[in-house]
Amino acid sequence: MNVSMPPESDSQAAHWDHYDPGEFYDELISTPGHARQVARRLVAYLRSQSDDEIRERRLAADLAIREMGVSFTVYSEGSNIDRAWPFDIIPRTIPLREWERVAEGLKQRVNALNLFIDDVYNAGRILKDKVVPKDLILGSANYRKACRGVKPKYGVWAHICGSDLVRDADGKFYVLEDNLRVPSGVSYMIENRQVTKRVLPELFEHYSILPVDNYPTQLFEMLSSISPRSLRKPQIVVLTPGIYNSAYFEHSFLAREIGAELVEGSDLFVDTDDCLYMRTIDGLERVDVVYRRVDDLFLDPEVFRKDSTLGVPGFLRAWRAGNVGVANAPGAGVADDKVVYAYVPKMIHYYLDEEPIVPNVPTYLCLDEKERDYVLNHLEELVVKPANESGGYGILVGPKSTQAQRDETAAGIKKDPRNWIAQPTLALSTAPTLDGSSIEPRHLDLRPFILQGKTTEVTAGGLTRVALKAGSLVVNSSQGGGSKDTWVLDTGL
Amino acid sequence: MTMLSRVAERLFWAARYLERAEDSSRLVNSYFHVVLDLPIGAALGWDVLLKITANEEQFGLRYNKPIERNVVKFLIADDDNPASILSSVRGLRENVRTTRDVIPADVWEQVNELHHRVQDEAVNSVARRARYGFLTDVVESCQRINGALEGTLSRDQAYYLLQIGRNLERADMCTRILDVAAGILLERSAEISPCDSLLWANILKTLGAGTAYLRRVGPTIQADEVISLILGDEAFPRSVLHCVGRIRLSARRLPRPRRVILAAAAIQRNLLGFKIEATKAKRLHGYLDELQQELIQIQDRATKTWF
Repeated sequence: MNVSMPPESDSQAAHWDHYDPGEFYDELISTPGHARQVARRLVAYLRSQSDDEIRERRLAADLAIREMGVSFTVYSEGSNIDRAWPFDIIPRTIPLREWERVAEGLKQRVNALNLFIDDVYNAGRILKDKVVPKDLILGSANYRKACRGVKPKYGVWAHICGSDLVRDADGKFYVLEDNLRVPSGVSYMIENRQVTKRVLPELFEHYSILPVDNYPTQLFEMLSSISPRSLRKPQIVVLTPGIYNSAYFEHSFLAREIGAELVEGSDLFVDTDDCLYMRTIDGLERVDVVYRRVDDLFLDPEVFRKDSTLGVPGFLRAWRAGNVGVANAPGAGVADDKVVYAYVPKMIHYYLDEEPIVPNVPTYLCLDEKERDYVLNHLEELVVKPANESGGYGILVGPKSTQAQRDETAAGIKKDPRNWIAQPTLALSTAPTLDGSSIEPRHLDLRPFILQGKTTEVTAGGLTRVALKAGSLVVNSSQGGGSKDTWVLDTGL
Repeated sequence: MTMLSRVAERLFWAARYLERAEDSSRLVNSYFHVVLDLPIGAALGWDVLLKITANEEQFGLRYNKPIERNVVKFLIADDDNPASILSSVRGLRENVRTTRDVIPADVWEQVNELHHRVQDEAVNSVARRARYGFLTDVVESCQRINGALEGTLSRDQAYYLLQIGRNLERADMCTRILDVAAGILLERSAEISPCDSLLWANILKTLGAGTAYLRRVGPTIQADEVISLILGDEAFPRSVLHCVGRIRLSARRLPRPRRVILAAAAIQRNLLGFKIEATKAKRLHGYLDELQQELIQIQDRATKTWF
């Protein structure tokens, strides 16, 4: 017996002993009272802490987040828009061996997706071979005619991909969706690790936790690799919609980390030579690579929305002429659509002649009459999503819905079947999460980031998002979600 | 190192707003003291302050009489007056907020703190009793921010843009204050009134020049000496000559500075040849007017060159 353990009454041990994830797969605890091998040391350590010590660490984390100025923005909150980032101090663990396999699967997926996008805007083989319906693509809200015939370097369009992974009750990872437009969250992944290092430094001595802070270097190298000019240090800019954007914190963070200029549309200018320039106090300076965090439709008022003040007239001209590298390329969003998502396993077969390593969640397409009828008759069991929304908006979670919500969704499906998909309600995995000083199972997902340029890299783990409300499956920070540090651990397993 | 034009312009304005907040606080505070000191009957109107800040017209749109309460509210706490302390601090915060990648983190925190303070307290600081403490705090906060910038900001382009903004605003304020003094003298007959030295002493106080004057001239307040200190004492950091010199030196550290340097040099030459007696108020007024035009010239050229 360990005599140095604090008395049971005010220690965390009791909380851990009572912790029961029930029917769900839990990331840390296999059955009540038993930690998974990968998390054993972590759980033992947390058990040994008193309630007061845990409270102190939690306060320290809050303070660190405030000091570091980690914030995010919510649109609906009016003028006071900066909110502190909600963070749970208990890390989520993943064994290295398992992660390596998942990372292979993500690389495979992004390879196939980029081959697909390049194909769609050029030869169109996959459409001619009827593997993916032509109408589905050409009629997609994210298909950009203006991108036809463009051949970006390495054939890569989606340079930065954030794929959302979930674990079902069987403990297997599934891909829930791929974010290929302007995926966000990576800065929080890095900041979460910084906070954990400050709050639980003891654990870093005994665990070998894969680092995540090499991401900015990899991002810089990827962006440099798509520069049209071969310079040792190409001029890279991060294009932000500005300070009122929900991800402005991240834009400014990444620009600082990779040594790029943080620019707005009005800072840029396309000259008659079809090159992109930025206005500096030294005069115009040529820009080689744009990491754009502005949506396609706002990028260039000459081609897309005429009323956009966030973009740059002539931007597409400069890109089409091959005078500037753009990540992600305009039009890459054609593969970021919940309907197109359903075809990704087929793409992997078609382009790579391989089996998907990480499977999709089974998906019903309302486009198909039979599947639509099934969806309409089973709304209560399914999760129904509009094809083109992000941030968790417009989603119907069948088992938790009211009749009125189901009616509204049904009407939406009948009106525009192409725009809707449905998936079985997953039993998302859980992880122990602090609620006061008690420890409760909360559902979570994982967003790793995949970088593709000359080479392909995957983050070690990614951003774990956790639903802070009991039973909730919605992990989006705009809707009451929080996050956890994610540890990919080499435990020799 | 690259400096975006947009960022450069915001830095320039951040410095101007910071200086404006400090100078306006000094002005309102010391004017109050002169009012207290003047014998009954000789009292100056509060509209003098409106003349200095050149917004009588705007005041007239919103208030009836230039009585103390109205004028002070307009200058301290009026949302619609773009030159009020409240608006200046807001402008400062907005410009720093959007240049946070360049500005040291603790400067941003201090600016934020000042902003919250002014937001919370400005309206309640119009009354005489609360006013002094509030204005003194604003001045001290501004000095703290300037101190943090001096102590932590690298001497690169950002620093020199801030220098230019600060010194341009400061020089502008000096000429305005002198001009009003000239105006007051103009309105009266040429004869010297016993209150004059109070007025000039107050101008020194507004500009924090009391000690500098004492050491340079002595305890006797003479109008000509005050004017020549404020315009032309190179060594005094709030003199117009000193400010213009700083602008010129700072411009040299920025790209393509020629036109800005020439404009600053013209003012320097002009100031070095200055010789007008305070009693010739009309000539003094004309001279200050010209000086203000030349300062605007610097601003225009800076805008054209860098922003």
